[in-house]
Amino acid sequence: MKKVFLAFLFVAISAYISACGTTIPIPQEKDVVAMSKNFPNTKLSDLLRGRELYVRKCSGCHTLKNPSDFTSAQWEQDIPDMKTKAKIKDDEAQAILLYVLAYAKDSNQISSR
Amino acid sequence: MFANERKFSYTYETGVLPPGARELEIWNTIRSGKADYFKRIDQRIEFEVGVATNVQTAFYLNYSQKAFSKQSWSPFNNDSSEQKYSLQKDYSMSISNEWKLKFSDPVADPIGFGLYGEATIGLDEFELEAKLLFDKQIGKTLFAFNAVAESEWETEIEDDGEEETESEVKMEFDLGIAHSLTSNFAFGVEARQHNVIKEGEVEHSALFFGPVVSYNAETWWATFTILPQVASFKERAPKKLDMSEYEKIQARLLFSFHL
Repeated sequence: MKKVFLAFLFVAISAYISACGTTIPIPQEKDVVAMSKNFPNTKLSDLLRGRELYVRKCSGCHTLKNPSDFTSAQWEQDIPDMKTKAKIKDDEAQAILLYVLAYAKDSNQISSR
Repeated sequence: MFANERKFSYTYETGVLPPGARELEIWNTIRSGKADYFKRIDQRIEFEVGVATNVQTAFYLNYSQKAFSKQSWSPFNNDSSEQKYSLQKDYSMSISNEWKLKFSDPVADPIGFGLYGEATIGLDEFELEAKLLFDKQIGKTLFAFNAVAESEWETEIEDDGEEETESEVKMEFDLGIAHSLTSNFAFGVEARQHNVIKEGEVEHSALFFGPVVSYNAETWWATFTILPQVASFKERAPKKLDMSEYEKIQARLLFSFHL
């Protein structure tokens, strides 16, 4: 009985953890509209590519941070700092920066700037 | 931050180095206390390199030394009251190669998942180890779980001088929970449930549980865990620990820096 309870508890905790889903935003059309005020030619595919590169390139060095944990100024300083060490190409760094700026702590100000 | 930081000393996370990135990890594990005097130090130097996207490999140089109490036996002395004990020392060295593949991320995906394989070869031993790695970051808390299977073949010399190879299967389940108190410092707990299986039967089974602290800087990180044995599942007397196979307490310090 104790083993069944422990197994049930383990499955329940696992289900809860996996149900929490992704904790970094997945770009949507409304984000493109917001970003295009400041970055005119932004497309949904650009933001999706930025997210894909952010996950693939940055998670190798550290746990991924939620873009909203930092301001746009902090991201604009951090991404160039890290790109050389992580062997990220210029165009990839641009795409990553675009993605994190879309959801930065002050992203409302960016999109209305 | 650049080093591929770890939050746990025993439980693996799914993170892998980016292609071309390299890291050096220094492992120190100390184990102490069995039924009689026992102390053991395991040291590993690991060179880790990112091979491709989501794939990394590592090479280890392993060194182990132990000191333990051994009962002397003489064919000319049958009096058990005359039994003598002495301190014995033993050393061993081996090399290992690991491969780690990451399939999903603990932040970007519903759950992080990875596979891990390691082969170890020494003068008198050969080991194969496989792990299923799961992890999930929720807010500032990281959950990680590993299911581990290990096969070990060890050469021994019998009293009559005959060479014999003994095999052993080990199953292990590791669980780690760590909360980031600052962007550099995390505190949590680790649990390790270990089983030794011989000829299809679980011969030894014990649970270890203790605290873990970790610190990560821009180019290095360190973790430290203390794991006392808290329960044995094969000892008949309730609450009795398995002091023949396992130690009373073990601790591990990992220190790593980016190359």
